[in-house]
Amino acid sequence: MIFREVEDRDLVAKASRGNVDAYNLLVSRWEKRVFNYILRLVRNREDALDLSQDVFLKAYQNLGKLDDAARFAPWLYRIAHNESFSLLRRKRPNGEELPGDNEAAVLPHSGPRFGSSTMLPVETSIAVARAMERLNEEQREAVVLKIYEGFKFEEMAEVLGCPVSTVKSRLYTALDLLKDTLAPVSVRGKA
Amino acid sequence: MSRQNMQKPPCEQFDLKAYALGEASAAERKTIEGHAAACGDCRAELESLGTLRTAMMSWADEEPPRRIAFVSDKVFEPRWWQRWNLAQMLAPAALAALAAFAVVRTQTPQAMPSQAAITSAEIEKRVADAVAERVSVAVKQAVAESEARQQTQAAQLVRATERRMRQENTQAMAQTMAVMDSNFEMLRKREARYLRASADLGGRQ
Repeated sequence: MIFREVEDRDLVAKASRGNVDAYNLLVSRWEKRVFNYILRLVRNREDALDLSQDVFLKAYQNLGKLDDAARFAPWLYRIAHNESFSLLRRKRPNGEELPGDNEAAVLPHSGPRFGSSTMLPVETSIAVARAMERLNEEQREAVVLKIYEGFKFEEMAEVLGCPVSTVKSRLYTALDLLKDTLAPVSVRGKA
Repeated sequence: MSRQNMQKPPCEQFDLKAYALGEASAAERKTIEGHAAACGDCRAELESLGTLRTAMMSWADEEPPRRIAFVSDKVFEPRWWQRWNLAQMLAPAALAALAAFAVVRTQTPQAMPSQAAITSAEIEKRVADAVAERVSVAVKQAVAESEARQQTQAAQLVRATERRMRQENTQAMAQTMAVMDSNFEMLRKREARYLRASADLGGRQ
């Protein structure tokens, strides 16, 4: 991971000096992670792909503003965060509740039941995706950044533009909710 | 408060989630592990967090449906209409610059070359340009004539082929008809033979 960071830093430095190939390599390296981060937030593949494209284009255009090349990843995710929430705000009419505020509206009643004796691994993943939908956008993003993207609390604070205490609060609340929702799945996974 | 409760540290002081998420320092890890060894609730909580994390990881990453376009890709080059817009924006400025240049030129007659000042090199250049232009016209004409000839030949070839195919079809049809007539005649004779045989058989009975 450290070796990888050094490589990224070198590529960012080269790209800042106008080396397009270096930037293309950075895109290849980060596109899947950024795409999945956005996908888990906006929950639409086409939107996620379009936003990913915008993120990398904006990052390229603003590469000169990145003070510390070693902070490329949190900086890139910050752009992705802004783009994703901008889209979510555009798509949400004024006054509409966040997904977590109205669980029944976003959580289908059909499909595999948690703890079902016939539940398959793929159903577990569906159950997880559905449980994630019960979280509000901020909680969901905190979980994605920590569990799926592996960021440290400080990096998450950088991406989200908020204090570490806020990050922990969102994440811990989300984990409690997920634990409650997925408890039967977890028990089965353990067994 | 009992002596036993005073000795047991309250579980809330341990950040078990930070531990489970890999955010605890080495010292914190050691303290929590020591506590969890003696506290069933915290041990169960840590186990539950670990299992939750395992379940969460079953929601795997997806491959992007298409790769993200590189900044060097053609998709980022300006479209023809963007270039046209740019040309539209630049055209007035270019015209203004051209007009200013023309005014300056007309107001400075000494800068204009006189007829007498035309050198032999310029004459040679004009002649060469005229020859090149005529050659170009002649080549274009020859190419056009050649293409026309080829088109005519191709059309003739197609017509000849169609004629030959029609003749072949007619011949094949005639042969088929002849074979059918022959077969029909044979069947007719066979029928007559059977009728005669039948009549003979009836007479005998």
